[in-house]
Amino acid sequence: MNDIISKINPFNSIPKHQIAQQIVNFGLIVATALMIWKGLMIFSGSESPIVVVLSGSMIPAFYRGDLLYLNMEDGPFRVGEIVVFKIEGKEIPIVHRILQIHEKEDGLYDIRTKGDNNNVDDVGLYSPGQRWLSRDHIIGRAKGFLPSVGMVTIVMHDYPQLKFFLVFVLAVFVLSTRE
Amino acid sequence: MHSLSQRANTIVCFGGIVLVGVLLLNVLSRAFFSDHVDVDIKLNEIHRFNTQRNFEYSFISIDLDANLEPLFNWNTKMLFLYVTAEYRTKQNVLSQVVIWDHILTEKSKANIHEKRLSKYPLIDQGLGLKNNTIKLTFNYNVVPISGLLTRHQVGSSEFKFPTTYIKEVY
Repeated sequence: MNDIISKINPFNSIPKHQIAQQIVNFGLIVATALMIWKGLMIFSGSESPIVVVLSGSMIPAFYRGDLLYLNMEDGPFRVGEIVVFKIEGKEIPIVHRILQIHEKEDGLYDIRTKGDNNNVDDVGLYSPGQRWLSRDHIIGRAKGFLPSVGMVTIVMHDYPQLKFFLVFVLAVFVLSTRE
Repeated sequence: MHSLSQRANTIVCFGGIVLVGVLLLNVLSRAFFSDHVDVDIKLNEIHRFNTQRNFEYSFISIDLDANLEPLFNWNTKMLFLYVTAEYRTKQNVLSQVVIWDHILTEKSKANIHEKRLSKYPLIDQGLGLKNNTIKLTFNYNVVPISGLLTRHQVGSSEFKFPTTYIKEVY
């Protein structure tokens, strides 16, 4: 019995110092990923520089699972631009197009949005009583587009077990690989 | 010497790098396609111009001539066309309202000669439309198959709202 276990156990024939090194390597990969994400945040000026489209309200421009690159440059907002905004009390940000803008003398904006695939504008989606979005609601302006790549995160979100399974397999894989 | 996992890793890595490279070339290739289009836009008619509570609103229609065929290349998924009314009032330094928009996905329909287009009402936040000059502009937004999202403005014309309200003509 012990024999079988020692044969199956991928860590069996690896010296201890090498296991330690693999753990460090694993940490390095995680840290690098985090660095890239945080670096992108600084570069783009947006709190979430990459978002996955979750709804079909912008079809045929964006489908579920498409990936958007956002930035938050200082230039003025104009109609036709696709922005990502967050409504107070709602967790999921919305990707829609600006339909109306009223720019005030003090540089503030009243913004009305609409999804390309929706028949009416977004007043019904805003907080009760809220008529307009302001700059504070907007977390990013869509600048780049990649189709379908974000489907991975949607599948993982829909089946959380898959996420843990994948992380587990990956961890075993990384730790047990010999140089 | 080379295990299956190492081979798989190399293939996936190399595949990824090639895909990113092709994507980059694809994005850069847009510079070689002409994006010059001629657009003619003008007001057809002010159908209604009235006030309600404390704001003014209007239904207007426009005539549009545009040939957008040159904008369709291998990296064009769709064009989002929209016409904006731009004006300034005492209340706002700039107001932009979309009065018509259209999703264009086929090159064969990109040659547009339309009269009396209208979709959304022009609603001001206050009483700023009367006797005000409105600038109509034609804009398009290129949605690529992959790459950068860009906005462009071509063609504009101006008109002035009358000093009296216009009820709908039957």
